Amino acid sequence: MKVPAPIVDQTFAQLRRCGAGVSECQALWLGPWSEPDKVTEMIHPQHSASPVGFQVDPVWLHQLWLRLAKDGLGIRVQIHTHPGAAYHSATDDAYPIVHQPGFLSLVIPRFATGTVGFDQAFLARIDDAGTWGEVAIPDYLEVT
Amino acid sequence: MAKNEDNKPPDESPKDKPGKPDKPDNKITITVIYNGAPMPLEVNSNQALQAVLQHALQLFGLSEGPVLFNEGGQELALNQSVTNAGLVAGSRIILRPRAVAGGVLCG
Repeated sequence: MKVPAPIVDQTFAQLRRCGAGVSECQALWLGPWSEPDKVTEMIHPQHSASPVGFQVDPVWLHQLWLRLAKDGLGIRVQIHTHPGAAYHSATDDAYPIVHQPGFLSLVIPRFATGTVGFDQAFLARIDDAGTWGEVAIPDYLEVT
Repeated sequence: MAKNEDNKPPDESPKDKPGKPDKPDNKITITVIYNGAPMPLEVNSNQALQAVLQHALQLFGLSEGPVLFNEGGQELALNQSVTNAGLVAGSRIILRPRAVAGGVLCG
């Protein structure tokens, strides 16, 4: 998945602004179905959050689904922060925004207050059996 | 013979509404939308939405997770028929997760 560097920068800025160093936050990377290996946009869901979790507003989620269909876009990667170390929790496993094999979930440690980038981040991917598993970030994400 | 709407079987396809089945086996084609991708799905008007959901999940290579909503955002009860859900040929339904969440602890 090719991710433009400005989108990575924009994502960290949003995660930091939203989380303010005290709450988890989520962002989504979208791309056109005409080019399924490219991320072209970052969006910030409307969500509630706490230091240990977040939940996306269901009304916002529904409107996103309609917008995606109208604009021919798909969600390529979900990104969210953890207060400490990055890993994929049971909640992360159970409530992703997309359940298809191949979908990626990036977890950023320390509420994204560290260096911008994927140092100590965790990338999970749904395999063909529908199970989440850790994958190496360089194998699936390329910053362009 | 006059129609008696009160005695009409609940699963009988409406005869006078647009989008009625063209085929004698009550098959209609609806569109299922998942993650921005609309896909056609042929269903039977008398079929329960539980079966439609299973077919929709298979259509997108899913085993579980999302459920069905109408375009207005109302979740569709799975124990009703396609017809009783108000779906006709050309209808669009939304396949999406009921909840999206994450974090280090269950919320």
